[in-house]
Amino acid sequence: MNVSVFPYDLDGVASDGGDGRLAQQGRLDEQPGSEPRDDLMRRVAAFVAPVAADAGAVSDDPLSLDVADAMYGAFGDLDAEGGLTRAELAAACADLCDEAAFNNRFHAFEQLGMLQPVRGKAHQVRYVFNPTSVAALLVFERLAEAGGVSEIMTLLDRTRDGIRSGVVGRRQVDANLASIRRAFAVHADHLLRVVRQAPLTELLVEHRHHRDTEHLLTDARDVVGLVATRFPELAGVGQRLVAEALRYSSAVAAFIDRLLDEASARRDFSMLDAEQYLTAALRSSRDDLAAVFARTVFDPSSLWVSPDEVLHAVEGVRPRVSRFRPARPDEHPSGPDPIDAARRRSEAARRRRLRAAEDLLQGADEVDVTSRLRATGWPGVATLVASMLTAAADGALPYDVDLSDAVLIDPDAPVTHLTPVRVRRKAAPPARAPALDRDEEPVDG
Amino acid sequence: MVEMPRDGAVMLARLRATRGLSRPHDPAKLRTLRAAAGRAGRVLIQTRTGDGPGVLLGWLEGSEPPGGDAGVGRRQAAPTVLLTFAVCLRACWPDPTHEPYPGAAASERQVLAALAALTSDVGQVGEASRGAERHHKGALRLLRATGLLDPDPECVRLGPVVALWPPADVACLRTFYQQLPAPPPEETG
Repeated sequence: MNVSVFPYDLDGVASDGGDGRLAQQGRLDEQPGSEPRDDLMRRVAAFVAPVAADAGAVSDDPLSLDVADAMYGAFGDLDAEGGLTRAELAAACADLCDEAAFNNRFHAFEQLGMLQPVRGKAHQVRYVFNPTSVAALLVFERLAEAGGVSEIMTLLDRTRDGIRSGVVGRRQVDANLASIRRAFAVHADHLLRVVRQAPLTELLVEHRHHRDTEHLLTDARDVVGLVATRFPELAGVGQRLVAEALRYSSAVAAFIDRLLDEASARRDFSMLDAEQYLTAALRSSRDDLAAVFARTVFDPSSLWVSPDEVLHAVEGVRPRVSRFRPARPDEHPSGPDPIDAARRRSEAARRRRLRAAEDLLQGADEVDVTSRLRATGWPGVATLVASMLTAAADGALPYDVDLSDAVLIDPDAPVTHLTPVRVRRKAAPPARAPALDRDEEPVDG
Repeated sequence: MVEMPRDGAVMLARLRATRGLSRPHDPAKLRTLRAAAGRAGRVLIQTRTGDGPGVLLGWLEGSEPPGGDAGVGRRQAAPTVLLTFAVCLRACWPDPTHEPYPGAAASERQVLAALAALTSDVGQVGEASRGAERHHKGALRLLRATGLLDPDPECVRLGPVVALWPPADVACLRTFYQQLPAPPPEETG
C-alpha cells in the first residue's frame, strides 16, 4: 500500500479544506459499514425499479423503511405467534412517527401484502409479517452494507456449491456465469464513471461497497476453474467472466487511487477505514510507512534545560581530592637536617655534662662538692646541681650523686639552704673523653 | 542563515526545521511569516546573529508545550550534558552584562580542558581519561543537535535556543555567573 496522505497542514492543524465540507459529511458518526439513509433509499429505488409501476412507486422517505424495520422487530421480539394487533404495531412505531404517518404506512403495507390479516375472533383482526418481506429487508440491509457487489459473491458461492454437489446443470451454470459477468461489467463501468466524474461524496459512498475485491477475484477464478473441469465446453464463457472480473478489479484500483488523491489533497485520515490503516501498518514496508510523513514538517529535537538545572549540575561537581599519597621527592630538601641537628645537640649536651662532672672530680673517683656549690653562689649552684643530677640519670655516663639528709643553713651566704652533695664515679672513666666540637651550638639548660 | 521563501506556511516550515532564518528584508514577507506563526501558536523573536538580523520561533503565551503531569514528556538533560553546557555557557558568555546570545566563540579544546579539570581524578590517565573525554564530546554533539549550541562543529558557540530564554532565566544565570566553571585560557601557538 503506497499511501501518501499528508494529514496535517504546516500549522499542525487538521485541515478540512477550509469550508468544513468534510465535517458536514458526518462519516465519523455513522455506524461503520452503513451509508446515509437518503443514499440507501436511492439504492432501494434502483433495486425495485425493474418491477415498479411508475417512478413514484418507491417512497423516497427513509421513514417508510424505518417503520417497516420497527414492525419487523416487533414481530420478531414480541410473542407474536398469533399475530399482532394494529394497536400493538402502532405502539411499536410510536417513537418513529405520528399516527397519521403510521396509518399511511400501515395501509400501504397491508395493501402490498407485507402485513397479512388473520381473523382469530370476529371483532378483532390480527396481522402477521410476510416472510418475503423479511427477505426484502435483509436484502436492503445488505445493499446498505455492501451495495450490489455482495450479490455477485452470493451467486459465485451458489454456483460453486451447485457444481460441487451436482444439483445444477450446464445450462444453469452457463446462465449463472453470464449473469455474474454482466454484474462485473456493470460495476466496472459504474466505478470508472465515478472515478472520472463523481464528486467526493459519491466516492465515499461507493468506497464502502468495493472493499473485498481480492476475495471476489479469487472466488471468480475458483469457480471458472471448477467450470472448466466439469463443463469444458463452458471454458470460453468462464474466460470472459475472468476478463470482466479483472476489468472490475482494475476499476476498483483506479477508484482507490482517486480516493487516495482526494485524501492526500484534503489531508483527511477518515477516508480510509481503521482496518485499512491497521493492515497498512502491519504489512507495509518501512519505506512505504516512512513515505506517509515524507512531506511532514517536524520541529527538530529539543532538550529541556533550565538555569536551575545548569547551576545544580555545577554545584554537584567539585574538584576531587586526591586519594593517593604524593610520591616522596627524589632529593633531600636543601638546608640542615633537623633530625641530625637534634642528635648533635643531644650529644653536645651530654658532653657538657660529662665535662662538668670530670671538672668536679678532678681525676678522683669520689669528691664532696658541697664547698664548691657554696662558692658558686646563686643561681649557678642550681645549674650545677641540675647538671650533676642529669649526668647521674644518664645511663651512658658513669656518675652517681649522693645527696645528704642534712641541710646547711647560712642566712648571710648567697645560698642560704644547702644540702651536702658527693659525686662518685661508678666505674673506670672512659679511655678518652668525646671530642669537643669547636663549632657546637649553644645549648639551653 | 537560509534565505526565506515566499509562502507563509513554507516560511514557517523552514523556520521550524532550521530553528532560525535571516530576517526578511521585505516587511510584507515578515508580516506573512508572523501571521503563519501566530496561527500555529508560535511567535517570531527577532535576534542578531553572527550573520546579521535573524528571526527565531518562540511560543505564544499559553501555547507552550505542556509539561509536568500533562502527559507530555520533555526530554531531560543528563548531568554530564548539563555540566558540559555550563562550561560552554561560561566560555561563550565572557561578559555577563551583555545578553548571552550570540555571545563569543570558544574552542572545543578549551571546553574539554575545563571539563577535564572539573571531573577528572588527579592522576587519571589512559583509558579512563579518554572515556571521560568521549562522554564530553558526545554531550557537545547532543547540545549542537538540540540547538543549545550552534551546529558548527569547528568551534563552540551558543545556539539559537539560548536566545529564547526568558529574561528571568538570564537574570538568574547572571546572578550566579561566578559559579559557572571558567575555561582555562586558550593556549597560543
